[in-house]
Amino acid sequence: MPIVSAVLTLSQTPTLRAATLATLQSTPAVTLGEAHGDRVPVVLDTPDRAQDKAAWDALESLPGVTFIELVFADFSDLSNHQDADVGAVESTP
Amino acid sequence: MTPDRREFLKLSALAAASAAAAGTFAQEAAAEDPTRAYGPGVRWDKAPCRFCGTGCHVQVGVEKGKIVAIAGDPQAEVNKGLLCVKGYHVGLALYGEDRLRTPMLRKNGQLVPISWEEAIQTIADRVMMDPAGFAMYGSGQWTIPEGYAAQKLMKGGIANNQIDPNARLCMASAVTGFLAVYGVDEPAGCYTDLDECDVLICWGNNPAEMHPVLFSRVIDRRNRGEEVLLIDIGTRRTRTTAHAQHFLEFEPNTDLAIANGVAHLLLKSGTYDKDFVSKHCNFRKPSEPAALEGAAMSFEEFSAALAPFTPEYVERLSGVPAKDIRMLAGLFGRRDLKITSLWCMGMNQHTRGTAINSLVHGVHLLSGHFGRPGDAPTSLTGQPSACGTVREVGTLSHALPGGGVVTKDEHRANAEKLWNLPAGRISAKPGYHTVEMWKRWSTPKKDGGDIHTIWVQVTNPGQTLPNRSLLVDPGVKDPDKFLICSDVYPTATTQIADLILPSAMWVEKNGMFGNSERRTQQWFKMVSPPGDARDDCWQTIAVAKELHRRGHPGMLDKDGRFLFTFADAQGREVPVWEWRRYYELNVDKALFEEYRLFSRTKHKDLAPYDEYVKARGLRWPVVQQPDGTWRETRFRFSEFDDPYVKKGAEIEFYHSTTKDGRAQIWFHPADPPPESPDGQYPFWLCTGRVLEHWHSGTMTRRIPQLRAAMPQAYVEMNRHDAQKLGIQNGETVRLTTRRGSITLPVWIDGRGDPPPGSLFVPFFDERIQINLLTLHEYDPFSKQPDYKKCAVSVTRIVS
Repeated sequence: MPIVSAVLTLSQTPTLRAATLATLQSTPAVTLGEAHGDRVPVVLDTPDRAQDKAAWDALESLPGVTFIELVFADFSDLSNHQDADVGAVESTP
Repeated sequence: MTPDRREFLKLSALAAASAAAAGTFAQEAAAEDPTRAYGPGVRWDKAPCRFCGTGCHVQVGVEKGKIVAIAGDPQAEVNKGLLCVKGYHVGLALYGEDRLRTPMLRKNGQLVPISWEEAIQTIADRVMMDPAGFAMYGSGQWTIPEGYAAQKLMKGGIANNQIDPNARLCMASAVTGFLAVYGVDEPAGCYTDLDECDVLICWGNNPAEMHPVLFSRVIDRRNRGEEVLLIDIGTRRTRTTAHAQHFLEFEPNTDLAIANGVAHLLLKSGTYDKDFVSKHCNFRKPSEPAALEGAAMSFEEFSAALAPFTPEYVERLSGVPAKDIRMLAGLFGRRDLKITSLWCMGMNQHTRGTAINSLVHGVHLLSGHFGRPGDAPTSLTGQPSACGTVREVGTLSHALPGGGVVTKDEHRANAEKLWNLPAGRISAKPGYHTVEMWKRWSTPKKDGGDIHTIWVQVTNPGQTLPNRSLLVDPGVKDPDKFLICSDVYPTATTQIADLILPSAMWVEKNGMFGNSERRTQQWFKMVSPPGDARDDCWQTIAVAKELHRRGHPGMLDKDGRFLFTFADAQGREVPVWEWRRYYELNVDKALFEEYRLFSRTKHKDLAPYDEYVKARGLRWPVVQQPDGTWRETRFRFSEFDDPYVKKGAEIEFYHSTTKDGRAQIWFHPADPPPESPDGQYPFWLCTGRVLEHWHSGTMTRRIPQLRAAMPQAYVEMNRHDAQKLGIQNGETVRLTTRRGSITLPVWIDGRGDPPPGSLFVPFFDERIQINLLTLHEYDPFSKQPDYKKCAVSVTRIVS
């Protein structure tokens, strides 16, 4: 499943920032790098699609994350069975 | 993937993100590049992202014929190794299970698979039955060579000028604004302005969501401790507002009054840049009859015209407090600051689009905030090659490659010379603009509907045209009309198409794009398209060849050669209209080398194709240096960077409409819009995009992560309005305008926050066709419709 690295920009509010970092540190799928100012490098590594989505949803909904930039994404595992994984869109009735 | 490899990949990914976070990714690219974690089985190559107009470069990893990884390109100046969420998924966009794989023709009401031969024959039949009524409708997603081939077919071959792109719907007013002010299209500045400005003003623009990688430059600068004052002038709060120090909320359509108010104060306070204006500017006003060049006016007349636009008067019109108008004018009046303005659809999708574009340029010119890095009025585009293909190749119905227009004898003569056509081949009559083209296609021939067939490539008008019932209503389609659609997925347009052609997309073909900062970018084909999908460019050339075979006289040049004749390095002609031979030579290169000869017409010089192979894009004009190298231009019209500015001139507008090297500062009155809320339709309706989905969602809605993140369209509503109407969050409401009605859920306190009396609906969801409700009224110069404001009513649906 995907390995994705990103840069998160954190809130400048100290309490919110600290809470966000604590949440990130306690999230198993997330590996944190060294922060540079408000910007924190992260890697998300999840075992399956459901957890990948859950991890991203959680990350995007953190109130202390103000901006997300992607750097890298590997979906080589996904591409082995991509036709089944990447769905069709339901059309206009 | 083995655990060791996975761990190595994670470490590489983290190192790359760390370098990006530290802002050193570009310098440390060689060491931190995550692509190094892969073995020789994965081949990496560069390509620009195929979504928005920012033009981020990605590195694409391919293994066994499929894309397995995407990385931001640290060598790319545009994005410095960063991508937005759509860029991350750009590789997956190719692999939806319902990719179109074979041509299909509607027979007895049913779509049935046919051969490519039958498909090409069918198109040729439609052309030959009445060439004058055959049209092409493309987009800013056409690659440069694709758009150029279509342009040559329609203007040099079939020669009816009936070609227009969907970019008419998104940036045509930016074009007419640039032409009216500078006499030549496209921004003078570049993205470097975002790194250099002290003040960034977003005029009806939401780059935090729509151009996030560009916006991240501001985030990055602030992170490094730099002060960037961000002012958001808008009709609803967005993610950009969250980063702004000032939010100036204005009543829809009153942005003209705001710009006039700023100009008025600059004059009244004497803080306008007298030296800049006296050396480099003229004054202009609307003319009778209306013309893009307008009529001359004196400084005194200009000043008198602005006199009514006091801060208090502007506040009454716009709702923006007078103190904020003074704040804006105060900033523009300071020479020690550098100010960049950004805009996109908010100013362009506007029935006064040309006017407001001209006024914002005018504020910058009047205040001298122009021509230095960080001092720039800059329009952004929504599509990856709206600039490169639509504006530069000129796929608009009135345009010719390189900035020419069909109405000018010398431009037609130049095109005929470069295409080796007999004199008089190109028609001097512009084709129909988008709204008119589709209206005529939707009107029976006996009632004046003289367009019988439209061939759509790389766009989805069945979802994106305004006032859809009027322009492309499948329920009233005349049986004599015919719709051809080349696309990669089933769309709202393929649902009503008579002939569907499966296309290759992005890195399934060679390509070139031109982004919002005049940067031309190139990539090579990396993977094969699915099934029998084929390049759009090949489709165009194959139809041209079939027309040639049938004796259409326009398919020959004046020496009797087929219009699309290509030779290999040994000079042998290659029949590229035969699909199996299409990639025997690089058709993109051949077309680009032909096209770039046009680019000198208006000093938009392009380098040879091979220079773009080496680069992460080059910004035109790209001029060859004495040592043989090619130098791009970051800041046009400024002597320090633009080789076409005369020595000693400092600033020179060398395509000035007044032929004196000066730009035009315009006055435009602040007139009301064609439709405003009233008792029956009491709300403003604004439409637009969201971060996760790109335009009509045909690609991004097939990516599970993006679909899950933003599953369906909604209407954003102000909490107070919802309370008044007894509407709860998530409840379904009916929106009704004079043109139609739809139902959809309400989102209160959502991502955006419209003020009381105003609603917002995104257009990405084909199941919720917001364009059944929008206006088709358009700007008189650009012919661009207004998707940002019409009157609507809201009714709670009681289950």
